[in-house]
Amino acid sequence: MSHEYMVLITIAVMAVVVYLTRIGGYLVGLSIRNIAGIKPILDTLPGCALMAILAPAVRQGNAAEILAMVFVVVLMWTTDNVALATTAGISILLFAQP
Amino acid sequence: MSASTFSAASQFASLEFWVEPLPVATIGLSAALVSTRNILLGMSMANYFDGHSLGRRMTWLFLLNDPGVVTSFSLDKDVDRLGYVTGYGVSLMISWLVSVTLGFLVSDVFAQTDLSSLNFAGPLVMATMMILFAKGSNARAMPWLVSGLTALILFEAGISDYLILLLSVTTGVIAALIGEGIRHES
Repeated sequence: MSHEYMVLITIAVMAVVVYLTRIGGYLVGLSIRNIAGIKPILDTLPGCALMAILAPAVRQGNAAEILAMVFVVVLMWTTDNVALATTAGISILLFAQP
Repeated sequence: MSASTFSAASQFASLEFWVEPLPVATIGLSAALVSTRNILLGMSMANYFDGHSLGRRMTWLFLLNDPGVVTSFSLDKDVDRLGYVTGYGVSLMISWLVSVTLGFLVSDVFAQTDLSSLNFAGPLVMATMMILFAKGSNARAMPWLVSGLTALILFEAGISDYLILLLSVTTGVIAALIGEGIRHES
C-alpha cells in the first residue's frame, strides 16, 4: 500500500475518532439527561475539564508564564475582553522570558 | 487534516507518532485519548440543543468546540445554543485553516527563530475560557476546584495526561453530586 494512501487512511481514522468523541458525549448526555438532578452535574463538566487541563499546565509554568497567567486572569475578570487579555498574556510570554 | 479532524490537540498528538510506516491504530488511539474532553463537552450540551432534528445535531456536532461550549453558558435561555456553538465553530474553522496555511507558507522565515516561549499560549487561552465560564455559568465552583486540586495531585504523582483528565473530572462530578445532595437536604 502506498504511503500517500496510508496518510489518507490515517487522517480519515483521526477524523472519525474525533467526531465520535464529539457525538458520543452528546448521545450519552441525551440518554441520562432525564435523571433527576443530573442537569447541574452536566453543567459543571466543562469547568471541571478546563481545570483538569489548566492546573497541571500552570504548575509546570516558569515565572514569566505564571506572570502572564495572572495578567490574563485579572484582565479577563475585570474586562471580559478575550483579545486584550490574550494579547497581554502573549506579549508577556514573548518579552519576559528569562 | 485540519479541515477533517478540526482538533489541534489531536493533530499535535499525531505528530509524535508520524513515522513511516504510519502506525494508524496508535495515532487513532492518541487522537481518541486527547479528545476525551469532547465527550464531556458533548454531555454538557445535552440539555441545550433541543429544537433541531437529530440529523442536524449530529451534523453540526462536527464543529463542537471548547470556547463555543464554554461561552454558551453565559447566553440568555432564548438563544439557539446549537446555532451559537456551530457559528463559533465555523469562525474557528476558518481562522484555523487560514492560520495553518499562513504558518506553512511563512515557515521558512521563522525556521531559525525560537518560538518555544509561545508554548504556554494554549493554557492562557484556556484561562480566558475558564473565566468566561466561571462568570457566565450558574454552576457551583466547588466541583471545578476539586477537579483542579485532584489534577495537581495526580500530576505530581506522575500520572499520564488523559488519566489526569478522567480522574480529576470524576472527582469533580462526585463533588457536584455531594453538593447537590446537601442542597436538596437543606
